[in-house]
Parts: sequence; structure tokens; C-alpha cells
Amino acid sequence: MSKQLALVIDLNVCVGCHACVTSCKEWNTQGSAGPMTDQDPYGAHPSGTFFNRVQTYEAGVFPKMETVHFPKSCLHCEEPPCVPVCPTGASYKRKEDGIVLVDYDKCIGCKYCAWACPYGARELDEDRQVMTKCTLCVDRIYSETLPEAERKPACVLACPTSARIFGDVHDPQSEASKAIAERGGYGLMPEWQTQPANHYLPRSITETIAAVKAEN
Amino acid sequence: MHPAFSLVFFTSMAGMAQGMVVSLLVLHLAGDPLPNQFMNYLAFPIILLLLAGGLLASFFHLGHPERAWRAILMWRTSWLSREVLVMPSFIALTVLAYIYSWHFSAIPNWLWGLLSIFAILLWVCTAMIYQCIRFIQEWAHPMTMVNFIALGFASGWFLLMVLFVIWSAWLSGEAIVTTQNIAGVAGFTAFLLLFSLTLKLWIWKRNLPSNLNRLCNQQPESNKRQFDKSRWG
Repeated sequence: MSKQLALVIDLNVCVGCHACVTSCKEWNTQGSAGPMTDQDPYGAHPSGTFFNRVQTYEAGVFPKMETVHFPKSCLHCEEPPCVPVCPTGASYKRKEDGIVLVDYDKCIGCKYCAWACPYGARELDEDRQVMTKCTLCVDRIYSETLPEAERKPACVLACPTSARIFGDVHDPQSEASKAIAERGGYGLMPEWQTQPANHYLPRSITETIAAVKAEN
Repeated sequence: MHPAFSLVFFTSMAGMAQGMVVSLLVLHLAGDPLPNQFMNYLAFPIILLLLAGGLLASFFHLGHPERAWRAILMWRTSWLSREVLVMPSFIALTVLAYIYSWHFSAIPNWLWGLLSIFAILLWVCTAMIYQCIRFIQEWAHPMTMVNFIALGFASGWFLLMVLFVIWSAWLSGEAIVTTQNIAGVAGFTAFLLLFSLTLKLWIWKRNLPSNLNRLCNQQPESNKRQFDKSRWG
């Protein structure tokens, strides 16, 4: 079976510190995907291009509520709906490792792929006027100059709670696949048959705390 | 979804031009030969102006218009790419029809056929760009295509009627719509406008958030269980 690189994100331990967001921006703005431009970064209404964002929100109904930190980036779908709609072929999915990429020299900035992505993972770079998205740090993971331990996506290396696991989800022996299998990893919006490669590990921490409280 | 104004201009202007071409064909088939001067001095120039304006507008929603030619490459998978191929073909056929009308005072039947096929193809491509995105349930419905065709045809027909009036009242003095056929023409105009209005109202009603939420909840049971793993899902 072919390789499908992906991230598995553990929602139990993500604390919403945004280290993955800043390290992603730091690496990718100077890497082969960069620059990732900002608009009015020090002004009243800063905005800019990010490949990875953490959305924090409250879930549940009072008093049974919890704060969820939800890191969101391109899910590198096995059936990416953004790829066939691209009129130029700038959006493509790599056969060798399943990474979905944009060729910035071919992108005409028509934004059709951003419409077609049900996850909102794609962002138009307002300065460069091309569509950008997570590259799974394709220029890091195959680097021959970095130490072998650092050949992982920048967000994975930066996460202080090890909430992000990087690996081949087609290889049942990989750490990522094992985490999905053992801890009920799930893909987002499965009803659309996009088969996202990235998976999320559901929170079990609330049940654990409730069980401990019940025992005492 | 808030498509750029350039896209709204493109869709309205090109749709109107397509509608005018199909309307001219309808009148051609109905056996009323339109005055050749009306075709050469008013109808075709207006159609080509609309098409040129639409084409120009479509460039404004691109981040890199200078690379627009690349958009013809992925016609095997992308409806947008297909539209980019069909639109210039339709313009070229319209120019050819104009040349025929100018030099030979008549447009051959094969050209009428090709013109109408490409007008409809262009509607299909434009509509499918929206309709094929299955996650956007406001668009992923057969009525999206009916909407593009109905509104394009109705607006093109209506503009043609306005041009008839301008031609008859100010430019030539000869009446195109006569007392014999005015009832039919008026009836058809009313039908097109009413049909488009009803369709539009039906689509807006269908797309009310309360109705679409109901659509979103029609998932297979297995998916629901998978969602429940994350309790906020």
C-alpha cells in the first residue's frame, strides 16, 4: 500500500498554547512554501496567512461544559475535493506520500479550491495572491541537512505536550496508526467521503476525572 | 459564500448574452425573420459587448490574471477549466455568426445549431462549477443549473424585447413586433419572468438555514456514531 503521511492530534493534551501555530509560521515563512505574508501586523486589525490555527471554543451545555482547543490545518484527504476542481493543476496530491500541495507558480488565485474544501483549510495569501496551505513541512521531513530527529513537521517538534503525532497512517505499525487504532482516532466530517488523512484522538479526560470523582 | 462582484458581473452579462442568442434562435425557428440591420447594428454588437464585458470582469477575480491561460489545462476534472474553454469558443462562434449576418445577410443553420449548443454548454459549465461542490448544499442541487439557464434566458429575452422597442421607436421606425404576434411575444415574456421569479423564490426558501440544517442531519447512522466519539461533534 502507498504511503500516506499525516498528523494525529490528541485533543486530551492540547492546551491551546499556539506553539504549533508560531513554529509553523516561523519555519514555513522562510522555507520553500514561504514567505507567508502578514497584513497590518502591528496595526489595529492584523491579519495574515497561516497553515495551522488553533480554534478554542466551549462545548456542551452548562454546567457540563468544557473548553476545547482544536488545532486545524489541511487534513491531506485521501480523496481531496480541492484537487479535481483546480483548473490549472496547481493543486495536487503526491502519489508517493499523499501530501496535498499547491504549486505557487501555477496557481492563478481563482480561490475555487477554497470553496471546495469543506474544512476551510486553505488560505489565500493576500500579498502573493496565491492559495496556500499546510505542506506537512515537506521541505523538513525529507531534508538531508537537518539532524534525523528533526525531520518532522515544525508543529510536531514544537508541541510541548506531544499532542501531535506524525507518521504514515497506511502503515499499521506506525506510531500514528497505533494511536488511531488504540484510542479511537477519527477523521473530521466522514459523511463527505473525503477520508481525511489527519486524525483526532477524542477526549477521554473528562470521563477519567468523573470516574475518579465517583470512586472517591 | 460571497462571490466577488467580478463574478456576479461575469455571470449576469455572459448569461444575458447567451439568453439573447438563444432568444434569436427561438425567433428564427418561429419563422419571423428579424430585420438584417437590427441584427447587424444592434443585436450582435450588444451580445458581443456583453460577452467582452463578462470575459473582462472574470479576470478581475483572479490573483494572477497573467497566468489565466493555465486554466484550460484541467478540463478532464474541473468544470471551471471547461468553462474557460467553452466561453472563448462561444465568443468565436458569435463573431462568426456576426460575420455571416453582415456579409451574407443570413446565418446558416449549422451555425445556429453550434451557437445554441455552446450557449447551453456554457450555462452547464457555469452552473456545474457551483453545483458540483457537494458540501455547499445551497448549490448542490439540480435547480442550480435550471436557475442559471432560466435567469440567463429570461434576462436575454427581456433585453431583446427592450432592443425591439428601441429599434422600432427611435432607430428605424419599423415595427418588429406586430399586432399579429404581440400577444404571443408578451405572453412568452411574462411566462419567462414569472417562471424565473418563482424558481428564485423557491431556491431562496429551500436555502433558509432551518431547511438546510435538516439536510445536513441526513447522514448514515454509522457516521453519527463516529461523530459521537467526540462529544462536542
